[in-house]
Amino acid sequence: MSSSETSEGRGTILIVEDEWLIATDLVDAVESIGYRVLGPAHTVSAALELLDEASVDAGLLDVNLRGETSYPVADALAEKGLPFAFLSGYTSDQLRPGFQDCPLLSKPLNADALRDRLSQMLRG
Amino acid sequence: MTTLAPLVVGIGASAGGIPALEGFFRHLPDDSGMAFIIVTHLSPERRSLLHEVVGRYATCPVSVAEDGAEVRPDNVYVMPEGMILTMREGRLWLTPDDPAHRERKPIDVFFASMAEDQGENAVGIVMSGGDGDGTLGVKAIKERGGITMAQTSDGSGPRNPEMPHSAIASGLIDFADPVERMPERLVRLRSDIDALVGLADGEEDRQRLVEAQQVQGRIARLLSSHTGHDFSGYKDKTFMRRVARRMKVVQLTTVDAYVQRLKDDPGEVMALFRDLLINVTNFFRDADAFAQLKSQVIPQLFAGRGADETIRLWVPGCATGEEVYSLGILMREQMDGLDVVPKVQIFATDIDDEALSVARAGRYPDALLAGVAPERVRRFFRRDGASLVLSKEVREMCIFSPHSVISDPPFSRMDLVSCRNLLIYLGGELQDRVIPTFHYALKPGGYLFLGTSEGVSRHGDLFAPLDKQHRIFQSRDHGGPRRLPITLDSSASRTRQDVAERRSDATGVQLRQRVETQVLEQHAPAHVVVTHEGDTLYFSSNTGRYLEMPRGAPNRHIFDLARREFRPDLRAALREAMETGGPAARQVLMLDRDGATGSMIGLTIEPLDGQAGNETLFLVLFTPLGQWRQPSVAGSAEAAAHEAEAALERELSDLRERLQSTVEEYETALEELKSSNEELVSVNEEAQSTNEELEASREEMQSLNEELSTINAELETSVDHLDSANTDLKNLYAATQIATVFLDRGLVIRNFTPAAGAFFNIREADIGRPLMDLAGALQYPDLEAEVRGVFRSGKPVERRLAPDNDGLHFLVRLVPYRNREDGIDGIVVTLVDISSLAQAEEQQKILISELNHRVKNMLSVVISIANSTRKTSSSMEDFAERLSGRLHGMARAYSLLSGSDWRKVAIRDLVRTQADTFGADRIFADGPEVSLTPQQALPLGMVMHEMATNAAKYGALSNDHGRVDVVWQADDDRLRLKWVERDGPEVHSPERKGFGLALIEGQVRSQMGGEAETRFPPEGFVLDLSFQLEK
Repeated sequence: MSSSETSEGRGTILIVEDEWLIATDLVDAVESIGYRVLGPAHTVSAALELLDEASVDAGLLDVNLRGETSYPVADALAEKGLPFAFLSGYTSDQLRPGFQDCPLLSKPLNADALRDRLSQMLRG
Repeated sequence: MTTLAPLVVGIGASAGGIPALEGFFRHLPDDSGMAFIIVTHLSPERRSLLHEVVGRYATCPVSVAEDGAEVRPDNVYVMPEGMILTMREGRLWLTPDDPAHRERKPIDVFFASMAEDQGENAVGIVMSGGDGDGTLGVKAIKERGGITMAQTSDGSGPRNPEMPHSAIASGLIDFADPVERMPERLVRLRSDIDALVGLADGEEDRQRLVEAQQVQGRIARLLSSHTGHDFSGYKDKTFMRRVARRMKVVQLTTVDAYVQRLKDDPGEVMALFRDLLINVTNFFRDADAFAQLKSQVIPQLFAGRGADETIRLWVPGCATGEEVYSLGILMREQMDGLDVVPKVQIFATDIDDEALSVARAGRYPDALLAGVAPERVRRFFRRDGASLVLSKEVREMCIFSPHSVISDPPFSRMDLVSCRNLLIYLGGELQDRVIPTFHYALKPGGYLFLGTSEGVSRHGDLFAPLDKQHRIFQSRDHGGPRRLPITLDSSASRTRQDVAERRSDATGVQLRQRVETQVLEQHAPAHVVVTHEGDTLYFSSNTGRYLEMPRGAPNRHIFDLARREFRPDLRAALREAMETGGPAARQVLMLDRDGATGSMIGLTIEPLDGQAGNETLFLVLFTPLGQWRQPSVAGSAEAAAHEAEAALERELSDLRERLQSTVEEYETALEELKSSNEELVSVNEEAQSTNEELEASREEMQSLNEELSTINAELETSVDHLDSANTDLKNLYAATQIATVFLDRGLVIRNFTPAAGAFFNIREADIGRPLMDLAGALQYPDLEAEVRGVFRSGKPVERRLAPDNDGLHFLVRLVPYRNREDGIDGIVVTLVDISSLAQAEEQQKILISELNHRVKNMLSVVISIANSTRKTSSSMEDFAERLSGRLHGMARAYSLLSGSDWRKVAIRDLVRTQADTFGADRIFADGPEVSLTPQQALPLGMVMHEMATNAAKYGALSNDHGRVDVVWQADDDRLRLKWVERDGPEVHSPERKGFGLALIEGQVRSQMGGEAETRFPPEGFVLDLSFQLEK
């Protein structure tokens, strides 16, 4: 399956998720809504590299990445003024202070919630 | 006698008794076969621990006496507090002590009842104590044939010797030993008893009877030869009992040996003699004699006495007072029937102070009153505790004082002397001294009452028998003055100091002095110097005409020395000189022998001037004035008669004057004497009543002291216990490491454990300070409010404190401190360090949230698998089969991990799970032992599953002879694993990568950070993968 195929150019979403199966599924889901996907990146460094190389409109970040967290990626996105949402099995009060008010999509993902969140992020 | 014990040993102890008991029981053998009953003075308010104390030393069981308990051998019974212990029918009985009338002589009470119950089996031991308790008790025991012992001093001594000393002084103690020696003595007594049983209580067969009578005869003869008393008429049973008792004491087992002992040892004869007379001092013992006294003597004592007169009785050697009170009762009975009641005084004396204090108390156990008629007991005794106390009306008549009838001056003007059984203890010589003393003490016609075996035969001149049989005698009146028997220690009569000093006639006397001396000696009138009382201090020469030595002892009194003619004038003139301070002169006719001639002598008395000292001395001068002759008849008769008449009248007036002055002098002296006498009487009465009061308070003090000593001893024991309990508590405090603080109602610190010291920052010195004052309490700001809450509600409170600066968590419990009445006296604050618990809780929280996270992640994975599988499935069946296959593959990997507690899983096991599903003969694993972390094991498990599923569908496992080799090796922590299929259907490279292969590569790359390469040679599918092993 290809991850770079575009249908309607409504925006590019950076996906950071270490679990291959979930990442694959997430990519399918985002693409099926009509966005382009950058990634998925399995590590922080891979994600930051992607951010340097290409431009994105928003980010979907899994919090826990195999022993590290995706907060540096969130920081980088925030620096660029780009919206992002966390994906996690945790609740928002378990996020690092400062990120507790950020949007959070609870795992397992609900397709409708994903759609609403993405359109909300890209609209605003 | 119903008890099984051969000996029942009563032990009386009081102050200082605990060391004595210790000494006794330490030396007691295990199998003594005796029963012991301990009676002490105990305060009813305090629980006695005596049985525990004794229990430490005694080898046999020690128990607190219970009501109705049978007395068993090899047991020790201790009297409980607030109870009076008695013995009846071989059992112990308790009666509560009346708090208003505390029994002060529990030992006497118990001994007396034990004596009555156990008779010869009873042994009474008096140990250390501070009053006379036990003395009457041992008397009762001895009277009934029991054995008596008392503690004497040795190295450790009785601490308070009065109690044993009193018993010993009474002469009633058989063995005075240190306590350590007593057990041995008891054991010997016990072993001798069997041999003696037959002697007194043997069957009444004739032969024995005859034998016994013979023995009695022999012993009675011995007694009679030593003491002069005949015991042959005594009841043989009583007699032999006494003999058997003495044999026990001297430890002889045959009568013959004892008779021999009597012959050899006069002391033993006296001891037997006293034993035989032991009971004669009891109340109204010899009832006949007392009856006789009542009918014959006592009415006489009261005859013709007015209300202001006093009847005086003396009981010398009164011992413990029974005789005194018997007399007192008789007197009181007589007084009841009289209209005019004179005063009665009974003086009771003894040399033994302890016996006197027993007598003074007037307190006797029932057993000693056996001989008193019940109506007398009712009338004259009052029950107090378990004893009977003499009524006040009898007690008040009696005055007790220490006095020796032998060496102290006797009393006097007595109406009756009662001295029963004192003389028997005195030898003949002393009797000869004492009986005249009695005679002196008695008024003429007074009565003497002696014991049955006593008499005054050698002093028939002093006493006349009134009733010979009952030994009542009457004092004979000699007419002459009564003289104090000279045997009394007379103090040297005081001699007046001789004041007269001879002038020194040393050398070098001047001529003038010699002349003066000669003139004085030769020519001066005769003179003497006297004091105002008339004692002569100085005689001149030539006084012989006027003075003469009187008959009898030398005497210097001028009125005695002067010739009879001078005496009246001397007396008058001296008096005149004293009163006027000037000279006084008289003329005295001194007749010659013939009476017809004589000489007139001038008598001049003048004060002597220039005297040193205060005493006025008087010079008495005798001046011859001339011859006197009886007027001769031959002269002028009328003139002579006239002259004679005038002379007579002169003489008469002189005489009147003298008489007058003498009378005046006499009256003055009489007045003075009267008033002195009155003063003395009143002083004496005051002194007597003060003395009585002092005695009474001394007795009270003594008994108080007794109690205090006992309490003190018990307190010491309790303090010991407290000390050890306290030490236990301290150790407990130190060991708990639970911070505990005891607060009182005012939140003042009462105590705390060392751990609390650290928490609240309290030190030992802070006990007694309010907890809130201490800075350390700030860690718990709500403490005060919550403590008050607990006071209000009475319910415990439990609170978790916020972690302190060191990150320590504490659990605080506030529990009410309940006193014995279940009221709240304070608060116990405990602080438990629950930091580890808090950490565990924290950990648990993390774990739960982690679990939550993982479950959600897992569900996400499952959903993803389902989504991906759906996209690549050709049909519903295909989808279901693939999905469930994949989920099972995951599940198998998970169960491997959970089987190893989520630690490491061996590669071999991952391979084998596939082999278990697809056939062990088809899949072969080969490689070293390598284990993977869960993070790598799970993806590899899924990869293996995909591989095996693919092989089963399209590859080597899809026919029946293909095989799969899984080979791995590890170098430098990098694992290389090869999956090689052979002998399957021919392989074609697929046109496009299916989901299975994508999953394999995705898992290896993204999840395991490794590389995967798939090849499709015709002979079989090959997978190469390599990844870095995680640690």
